[in-house]
Amino acid sequence: MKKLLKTQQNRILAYILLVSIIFIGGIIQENMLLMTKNQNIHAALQPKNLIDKATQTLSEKEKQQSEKIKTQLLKKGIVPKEALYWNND
Amino acid sequence: MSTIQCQLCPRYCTLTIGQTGDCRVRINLDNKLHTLVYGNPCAIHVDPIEKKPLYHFLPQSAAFSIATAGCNLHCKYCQNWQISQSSPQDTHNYDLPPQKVVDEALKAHCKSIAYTYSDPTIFYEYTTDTAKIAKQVGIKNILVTAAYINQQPLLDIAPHIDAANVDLKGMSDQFYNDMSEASLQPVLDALITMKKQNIWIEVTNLVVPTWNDSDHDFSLLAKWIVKNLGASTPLHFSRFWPRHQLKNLPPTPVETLIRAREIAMNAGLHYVYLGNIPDRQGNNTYCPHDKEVLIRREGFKILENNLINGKCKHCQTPIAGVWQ
Repeated sequence: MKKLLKTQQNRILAYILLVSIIFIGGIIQENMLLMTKNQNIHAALQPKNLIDKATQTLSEKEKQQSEKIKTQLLKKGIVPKEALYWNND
Repeated sequence: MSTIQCQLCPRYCTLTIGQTGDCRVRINLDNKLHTLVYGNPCAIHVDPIEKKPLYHFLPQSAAFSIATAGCNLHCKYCQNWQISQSSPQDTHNYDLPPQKVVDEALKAHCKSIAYTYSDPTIFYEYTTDTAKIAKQVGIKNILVTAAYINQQPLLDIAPHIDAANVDLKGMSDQFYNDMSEASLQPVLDALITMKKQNIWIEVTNLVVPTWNDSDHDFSLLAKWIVKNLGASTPLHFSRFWPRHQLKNLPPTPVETLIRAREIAMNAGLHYVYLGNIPDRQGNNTYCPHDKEVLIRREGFKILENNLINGKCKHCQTPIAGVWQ
Protein backbone atom coordinates (compact mmCIF):
# COMPACT_ATOMS: atom_id res chain seq x y z
CA MET A 1 0.00 0.00 0.00
CA LYS A 2 2.83 2.32 1.00
CA LYS A 3 4.58 1.39 -2.20
CA LEU A 4 1.40 2.06 -4.21
CA LEU A 5 0.94 5.46 -2.58
CA LYS A 6 4.46 6.29 -3.45
CA THR A 7 3.81 5.26 -7.04
CA GLN A 8 0.63 7.37 -7.08
CA GLN A 9 2.55 10.32 -5.70
CA ASN A 10 5.12 9.78 -8.40
CA ARG A 11 2.36 9.67 -11.01
CA ILE A 12 0.83 12.89 -9.74
CA LEU A 13 4.23 14.53 -9.66
CA ALA A 14 4.95 13.33 -13.18
CA TYR A 15 1.56 14.65 -14.33
CA ILE A 16 2.16 18.07 -12.74
CA LEU A 17 5.61 18.18 -14.32
CA LEU A 18 4.20 17.34 -17.74
CA VAL A 19 1.46 20.00 -17.51
CA SER A 20 4.04 22.55 -16.36
CA ILE A 21 6.33 21.77 -19.28
CA ILE A 22 3.44 22.12 -21.76
CA PHE A 23 2.32 25.39 -20.13
CA ILE A 24 5.80 26.93 -20.00
CA GLY A 25 6.51 25.65 -23.51
CA GLY A 26 3.36 27.39 -24.75
CA ILE A 27 4.38 30.67 -23.17
CA ILE A 28 7.87 30.47 -24.65
CA GLN A 29 6.48 29.66 -28.08
CA GLU A 30 3.99 32.55 -27.93
CA ASN A 31 6.72 34.98 -26.93
CA MET A 32 8.96 33.74 -29.70
CA LEU A 33 6.15 34.26 -32.23
CA LEU A 34 5.55 37.75 -30.87
CA MET A 35 9.27 38.53 -31.09
CA THR A 36 9.37 37.33 -34.69
CA LYS A 37 6.28 39.43 -35.49
CA ASN A 38 7.86 42.50 -33.92
CA GLN A 39 11.09 41.84 -35.77
CA ASN A 40 9.14 41.62 -39.03
CA ILE A 41 7.36 44.90 -38.33
CA HIS A 42 10.66 46.51 -37.44
CA ALA A 43 12.27 45.07 -40.57
CA ALA A 44 9.45 46.46 -42.69
CA LEU A 45 10.20 49.92 -41.35
CA GLN A 46 13.92 49.57 -41.98
CA PRO A 47 14.54 49.77 -45.71
CA LYS A 48 16.86 47.05 -46.94
CA ASN A 49 18.98 47.23 -50.09
CA LEU A 50 17.50 50.54 -51.07
CA ILE A 51 18.74 51.64 -54.45
CA ASP A 52 20.86 54.71 -54.74
CA LYS A 53 18.91 57.10 -56.95
CA ALA A 54 22.03 58.70 -58.32
CA THR A 55 24.01 55.61 -59.28
CA GLN A 56 21.39 52.95 -59.88
CA THR A 57 21.50 50.88 -63.02
CA LEU A 58 18.73 48.63 -64.23
CA SER A 59 19.49 45.05 -65.12
CA GLU A 60 18.17 43.72 -68.41
CA LYS A 61 15.70 41.54 -66.53
CA GLU A 62 14.40 44.49 -64.51
CA LYS A 63 14.02 46.56 -67.67
CA GLN A 64 12.05 43.81 -69.36
CA GLN A 65 9.83 43.31 -66.31
CA SER A 66 9.03 47.00 -66.11
CA GLU A 67 8.30 47.29 -69.84
CA LYS A 68 5.98 44.29 -69.71
CA ILE A 69 3.98 45.82 -66.85
CA LYS A 70 3.84 49.21 -68.55
CA THR A 71 2.44 47.59 -71.70
CA GLN A 72 -0.20 45.75 -69.67
CA LEU A 73 -1.18 48.97 -67.89
CA LEU A 74 -1.35 50.91 -71.13
CA LYS A 75 -3.85 48.38 -72.48
CA LYS A 76 -6.08 49.40 -69.57
CA GLY A 77 -5.54 53.10 -70.33
CA ILE A 78 -3.19 53.67 -67.39
CA VAL A 79 -0.04 55.71 -67.87
CA PRO A 80 2.21 55.49 -64.78
CA LYS A 81 3.68 58.77 -63.61
CA GLU A 82 6.72 59.13 -61.39
CA ALA A 83 5.63 59.65 -57.80
CA LEU A 84 6.98 61.68 -54.88
CA TYR A 85 8.32 60.54 -51.51
CA TRP A 86 10.43 57.48 -51.93
CA ASN A 87 13.97 56.57 -50.89
CA ASN A 88 14.55 59.63 -48.77
CA ASP A 89 13.10 62.27 -51.07
CA MET B 1 17.17 42.28 -55.57
CA SER B 2 17.16 46.03 -54.96
CA THR B 3 14.10 47.69 -53.48
CA ILE B 4 12.58 51.09 -53.21
CA GLN B 5 10.56 52.38 -50.28
CA CYS B 6 7.45 54.51 -50.50
CA GLN B 7 7.59 57.15 -47.78
CA LEU B 8 4.22 58.80 -48.32
CA CYS B 9 2.33 57.09 -45.51
CA PRO B 10 3.24 55.35 -42.25
CA ARG B 11 3.13 51.95 -43.95
CA TYR B 12 6.54 52.52 -45.57
CA CYS B 13 6.01 49.80 -48.18
CA THR B 14 9.20 48.36 -49.64
CA LEU B 15 8.76 47.37 -53.27
CA THR B 16 10.74 45.34 -55.76
CA ILE B 17 10.16 45.79 -59.50
CA GLY B 18 6.47 45.34 -60.39
CA GLN B 19 5.22 45.37 -56.81
CA THR B 20 2.46 47.76 -55.78
CA GLY B 21 2.15 49.16 -52.29
CA ASP B 22 -0.54 48.35 -49.78
CA CYS B 23 -2.65 51.09 -51.39
CA ARG B 24 -2.62 49.27 -54.78
CA VAL B 25 -1.82 52.46 -56.68
CA ARG B 26 1.89 53.08 -56.13
CA ILE B 27 4.22 50.77 -58.01
CA ASN B 28 7.93 50.16 -58.58
CA LEU B 29 8.73 50.45 -62.28
CA ASP B 30 12.32 50.88 -63.49
CA ASN B 31 13.29 51.06 -59.80
CA LYS B 32 11.38 54.31 -59.48
CA LEU B 33 8.14 54.83 -57.59
CA HIS B 34 5.20 55.54 -59.89
CA THR B 35 1.56 56.41 -59.31
CA LEU B 36 -1.10 54.66 -61.39
CA VAL B 37 -3.91 57.12 -60.75
CA TYR B 38 -2.57 60.51 -61.82
CA GLY B 39 -5.33 62.19 -63.84
CA ASN B 40 -7.47 59.06 -63.74
CA PRO B 41 -10.32 59.45 -61.24
CA CYS B 42 -12.91 56.71 -61.04
CA ALA B 43 -15.54 58.88 -59.34
CA ILE B 44 -16.60 62.43 -60.24
CA HIS B 45 -19.59 64.19 -58.69
CA VAL B 46 -20.85 67.63 -57.78
CA ASP B 47 -21.88 67.40 -54.12
CA PRO B 48 -23.28 69.81 -51.57
CA ILE B 49 -20.42 70.66 -49.23
CA GLU B 50 -22.58 69.50 -46.33
CA LYS B 51 -22.17 65.96 -47.66
CA LYS B 52 -18.40 65.90 -46.93
CA PRO B 53 -19.49 66.76 -44.14
CA LEU B 54 -18.32 70.34 -43.71
CA TYR B 55 -20.87 72.46 -41.84
CA HIS B 56 -18.68 75.50 -41.10
CA PHE B 57 -17.09 75.96 -44.52
CA LEU B 58 -18.85 77.83 -47.33
CA PRO B 59 -22.33 76.51 -46.43
CA GLN B 60 -24.70 75.55 -49.21
CA SER B 61 -21.96 75.69 -51.84
CA ALA B 62 -21.14 72.98 -54.34
CA ALA B 63 -17.94 70.94 -54.12
CA PHE B 64 -16.53 69.30 -57.24
CA SER B 65 -15.65 65.88 -55.85
CA ILE B 66 -13.15 63.40 -57.24
CA ALA B 67 -11.65 60.09 -56.17
CA THR B 68 -9.39 57.43 -57.58
CA ALA B 69 -9.23 53.71 -56.89
CA GLY B 70 -7.23 52.43 -53.91
CA CYS B 71 -6.71 53.34 -50.27
CA ASN B 72 -3.95 52.95 -47.70
CA LEU B 73 -6.44 51.79 -45.06
CA HIS B 74 -8.59 48.67 -45.16
CA CYS B 75 -11.52 49.48 -42.91
CA LYS B 76 -13.93 46.67 -42.27
CA TYR B 77 -16.85 49.14 -42.39
CA CYS B 78 -15.75 51.06 -45.49
CA GLN B 79 -18.75 52.70 -47.14
CA ASN B 80 -16.92 53.06 -50.48
CA TRP B 81 -15.10 49.74 -50.52
CA GLN B 82 -15.99 49.10 -54.17
CA ILE B 83 -13.44 51.74 -55.18
CA SER B 84 -11.21 52.02 -52.12
CA GLN B 85 -10.37 48.31 -52.06
CA SER B 86 -9.86 48.05 -55.83
CA SER B 87 -6.87 48.49 -58.10
CA PRO B 88 -7.05 51.16 -60.81
CA GLN B 89 -6.90 48.33 -63.35
CA ASP B 90 -10.28 47.10 -62.05
CA THR B 91 -12.22 50.37 -62.00
CA HIS B 92 -13.67 52.42 -64.83
CA ASN B 93 -11.46 55.51 -64.94
CA TYR B 94 -11.87 58.90 -66.57
CA ASP B 95 -9.17 60.90 -68.28
CA LEU B 96 -9.20 64.11 -66.25
CA PRO B 97 -5.85 65.85 -65.82
CA PRO B 98 -5.55 68.56 -63.14
CA GLN B 99 -6.31 71.50 -65.46
CA LYS B 100 -9.45 69.75 -66.69
CA VAL B 101 -10.64 69.14 -63.11
CA VAL B 102 -10.40 72.85 -62.42
CA ASP B 103 -12.12 73.73 -65.72
CA GLU B 104 -14.98 71.36 -64.92
CA ALA B 105 -15.28 72.72 -61.38
CA LEU B 106 -15.56 76.26 -62.76
CA LYS B 107 -18.12 75.13 -65.32
CA ALA B 108 -20.22 73.56 -62.55
CA HIS B 109 -19.99 76.77 -60.44
CA CYS B 110 -18.25 74.95 -57.61
CA LYS B 111 -16.52 77.01 -54.96
CA SER B 112 -14.32 74.12 -53.97
CA ILE B 113 -12.78 70.86 -55.11
CA ALA B 114 -13.06 67.95 -52.68
CA TYR B 115 -10.56 65.10 -52.85
CA THR B 116 -12.71 62.43 -51.29
CA TYR B 117 -14.56 59.07 -51.34
CA SER B 118 -11.41 56.88 -51.18
CA ASP B 119 -8.50 58.85 -49.65
CA PRO B 120 -6.53 61.72 -51.22
CA THR B 121 -3.36 60.52 -49.50
CA ILE B 122 -2.97 57.83 -52.13
CA PHE B 123 -3.57 60.18 -55.06
CA TYR B 124 -1.26 62.72 -53.50
CA GLU B 125 0.48 63.97 -56.67
CA TYR B 126 -2.83 64.38 -58.52
CA THR B 127 -4.31 66.25 -55.56
CA THR B 128 -1.30 68.54 -55.18
CA ASP B 129 -1.13 69.55 -58.85
CA THR B 130 -4.89 70.08 -59.07
CA ALA B 131 -4.97 72.08 -55.84
CA LYS B 132 -2.21 74.40 -57.06
CA ILE B 133 -4.14 75.25 -60.25
CA ALA B 134 -7.44 75.57 -58.37
CA LYS B 135 -5.94 78.00 -55.88
CA GLN B 136 -4.82 80.29 -58.72
CA VAL B 137 -8.42 80.71 -59.90
CA GLY B 138 -9.89 81.14 -56.41
CA ILE B 139 -11.28 77.65 -55.93
CA LYS B 140 -10.80 76.21 -52.43
CA ASN B 141 -9.38 72.73 -51.84
CA ILE B 142 -10.80 70.19 -49.41
CA LEU B 143 -9.37 66.91 -48.19
CA VAL B 144 -11.77 64.28 -46.94
CA THR B 145 -9.30 61.92 -45.41
CA ALA B 146 -8.32 59.46 -42.72
CA ALA B 147 -5.09 61.47 -42.41
CA TYR B 148 -2.88 58.38 -42.45
CA ILE B 149 0.00 60.29 -43.97
CA ASN B 150 3.58 61.11 -43.07
CA GLN B 151 4.50 64.54 -41.79
CA GLN B 152 6.66 65.79 -44.68
CA PRO B 153 4.13 65.14 -47.47
CA LEU B 154 1.43 66.70 -45.30
CA LEU B 155 3.52 69.80 -44.65
CA ASP B 156 4.24 70.12 -48.38
CA ILE B 157 0.60 69.93 -49.47
CA ALA B 158 -0.78 72.02 -46.59
CA PRO B 159 -0.27 75.47 -48.17
CA HIS B 160 -2.63 74.48 -50.99
CA ILE B 161 -5.38 73.06 -48.77
CA ASP B 162 -8.14 75.18 -47.22
CA ALA B 163 -10.22 72.65 -45.31
CA ALA B 164 -10.28 69.03 -44.25
CA ASN B 165 -12.78 66.64 -42.86
CA VAL B 166 -10.72 64.08 -41.00
CA ASP B 167 -12.10 60.70 -40.09
CA LEU B 168 -10.85 60.06 -36.57
CA LYS B 169 -12.03 56.50 -36.31
CA GLY B 170 -11.37 55.77 -32.66
CA MET B 171 -9.07 56.64 -29.82
CA SER B 172 -7.07 53.45 -29.42
CA ASP B 173 -4.33 51.77 -31.36
CA GLN B 174 -6.18 48.50 -30.89
CA PHE B 175 -9.24 49.89 -32.69
CA TYR B 176 -7.16 51.20 -35.60
CA ASN B 177 -5.30 47.92 -35.82
CA ASP B 178 -8.41 45.72 -35.70
CA MET B 179 -10.70 47.89 -37.83
CA SER B 180 -8.33 49.41 -40.38
CA GLU B 181 -4.97 47.62 -40.14
CA ALA B 182 -3.41 50.92 -39.15
CA SER B 183 -2.30 52.84 -36.07
CA LEU B 184 -3.64 55.86 -34.22
CA GLN B 185 -0.65 58.11 -33.52
CA PRO B 186 0.11 59.20 -37.13
CA VAL B 187 -3.52 60.34 -37.46
CA LEU B 188 -3.36 62.41 -34.27
CA ASP B 189 -0.04 63.91 -35.41
CA ALA B 190 -1.53 64.78 -38.80
CA LEU B 191 -4.52 66.50 -37.18
CA ILE B 192 -2.25 68.65 -35.02
CA THR B 193 -0.11 69.53 -38.05
CA MET B 194 -3.18 70.51 -40.07
CA LYS B 195 -4.31 72.76 -37.24
CA LYS B 196 -0.89 74.42 -37.05
CA GLN B 197 -0.95 74.92 -40.82
CA ASN B 198 -4.25 76.82 -40.56
CA ILE B 199 -6.35 74.27 -42.41
CA TRP B 200 -9.99 74.46 -41.34
CA ILE B 201 -10.70 71.10 -39.70
CA GLU B 202 -13.92 69.23 -39.00
CA VAL B 203 -13.72 65.77 -37.47
CA THR B 204 -15.95 62.80 -38.25
CA ASN B 205 -16.33 59.74 -36.05
CA LEU B 206 -18.32 56.79 -37.37
CA VAL B 207 -19.96 55.17 -34.35
CA VAL B 208 -19.94 51.40 -34.72
CA PRO B 209 -22.01 49.32 -32.29
CA THR B 210 -19.80 47.31 -29.88
CA TRP B 211 -16.60 48.71 -31.43
CA ASN B 212 -16.34 52.37 -30.40
CA ASP B 213 -19.69 53.27 -28.83
CA SER B 214 -18.93 53.45 -25.09
CA ASP B 215 -19.21 56.63 -23.01
CA HIS B 216 -15.47 56.37 -22.43
CA ASP B 217 -14.81 56.33 -26.20
CA PHE B 218 -16.92 59.45 -26.79
CA SER B 219 -15.44 61.27 -23.82
CA LEU B 220 -11.84 60.47 -24.79
CA LEU B 221 -12.41 61.61 -28.37
CA ALA B 222 -14.09 64.88 -27.39
CA LYS B 223 -11.51 65.72 -24.74
CA TRP B 224 -8.65 65.12 -27.16
CA ILE B 225 -10.25 67.43 -29.73
CA VAL B 226 -10.88 70.17 -27.14
CA LYS B 227 -7.30 69.96 -25.91
CA ASN B 228 -5.50 69.69 -29.25
CA LEU B 229 -7.72 71.29 -31.89
CA GLY B 230 -9.90 73.60 -29.83
CA ALA B 231 -13.47 73.65 -28.52
CA SER B 232 -14.72 75.29 -31.73
CA THR B 233 -13.75 72.32 -33.91
CA PRO B 234 -16.94 70.78 -35.30
CA LEU B 235 -17.35 67.08 -34.56
CA HIS B 236 -19.68 64.90 -36.61
CA PHE B 237 -20.85 61.61 -35.11
CA SER B 238 -21.97 59.50 -38.02
CA ARG B 239 -24.36 56.59 -37.97
CA PHE B 240 -22.95 53.23 -39.05
CA TRP B 241 -24.81 51.18 -41.66
CA PRO B 242 -23.89 47.51 -42.15
CA ARG B 243 -21.43 47.44 -45.04
CA HIS B 244 -18.47 45.52 -46.47
CA GLN B 245 -17.12 43.17 -43.78
CA LEU B 246 -19.38 44.31 -40.94
CA LYS B 247 -22.75 43.30 -42.28
CA ASN B 248 -23.37 41.29 -39.13
CA LEU B 249 -23.79 44.40 -36.99
CA PRO B 250 -26.99 46.47 -36.70
CA PRO B 251 -27.07 50.19 -37.59
CA THR B 252 -26.04 52.48 -34.73
CA PRO B 253 -29.05 53.10 -32.47
CA VAL B 254 -30.19 56.73 -32.62
CA GLU B 255 -30.10 56.91 -28.79
CA THR B 256 -26.37 56.06 -28.87
CA LEU B 257 -25.67 58.98 -31.18
CA ILE B 258 -27.73 61.37 -29.06
CA ARG B 259 -25.78 60.19 -26.00
CA ALA B 260 -22.50 60.70 -27.87
CA ARG B 261 -23.50 64.28 -28.68
CA GLU B 262 -24.37 65.02 -25.06
CA ILE B 263 -21.06 63.61 -23.80
CA ALA B 264 -19.04 65.55 -26.39
CA MET B 265 -20.83 68.81 -25.58
CA ASN B 266 -20.34 68.22 -21.86
CA ALA B 267 -16.63 67.75 -22.59
CA GLY B 268 -16.60 71.29 -23.94
CA LEU B 269 -17.11 71.03 -27.70
CA HIS B 270 -19.34 73.80 -29.09
CA TYR B 271 -20.50 72.21 -32.32
CA VAL B 272 -21.42 68.53 -32.34
CA TYR B 273 -23.48 67.10 -35.19
CA LEU B 274 -25.18 63.81 -35.91
CA GLY B 275 -24.96 62.42 -39.42
CA ASN B 276 -26.97 59.81 -41.32
CA ILE B 277 -30.01 60.23 -39.04
CA PRO B 278 -33.07 62.44 -39.36
CA ASP B 279 -32.41 64.31 -36.13
CA ARG B 280 -33.02 68.03 -36.53
CA GLN B 281 -31.26 69.07 -33.34
CA GLY B 282 -28.12 67.17 -34.20
CA ASN B 283 -28.09 68.68 -37.67
CA ASN B 284 -28.44 72.36 -36.72
CA THR B 285 -25.76 74.84 -35.71
CA TYR B 286 -26.46 76.62 -32.42
CA CYS B 287 -24.80 79.73 -31.05
CA PRO B 288 -22.56 78.60 -28.17
CA HIS B 289 -23.41 81.84 -26.32
CA ASP B 290 -27.18 82.38 -26.51
CA LYS B 291 -28.07 78.85 -27.78
CA GLU B 292 -30.20 80.26 -30.62
CA VAL B 293 -30.40 78.34 -33.90
CA LEU B 294 -27.87 79.77 -36.34
CA ILE B 295 -28.19 77.35 -39.25
CA ARG B 296 -31.23 75.12 -39.53
CA ARG B 297 -30.65 72.13 -41.81
CA GLU B 298 -32.71 69.35 -43.28
CA GLY B 299 -30.46 66.72 -44.77
CA PHE B 300 -27.94 68.67 -46.82
CA LYS B 301 -30.35 71.60 -47.34
CA ILE B 302 -30.18 74.81 -45.34
CA LEU B 303 -33.62 76.03 -44.31
CA GLU B 304 -32.54 79.04 -42.25
CA ASN B 305 -29.26 80.92 -41.85
CA ASN B 306 -28.94 83.44 -39.02
CA LEU B 307 -25.27 84.18 -39.49
CA ILE B 308 -24.28 87.67 -40.51
CA ASN B 309 -20.63 88.09 -41.46
CA GLY B 310 -19.77 84.98 -39.49
CA LYS B 311 -21.50 86.24 -36.34
CA CYS B 312 -24.69 85.27 -34.53
CA LYS B 313 -27.31 87.79 -35.60
CA HIS B 314 -28.84 87.80 -32.10
CA CYS B 315 -25.79 88.30 -29.84
CA GLN B 316 -22.97 89.05 -32.33
CA THR B 317 -20.85 86.14 -31.07
CA PRO B 318 -18.30 85.20 -33.77
CA ILE B 319 -18.84 81.63 -34.97
CA ALA B 320 -15.76 79.65 -35.94
CA GLY B 321 -15.61 78.69 -39.61
CA VAL B 322 -14.99 79.91 -43.14
CA TRP B 323 -18.27 81.48 -44.14
CA GLN B 324 -17.42 83.40 -47.31
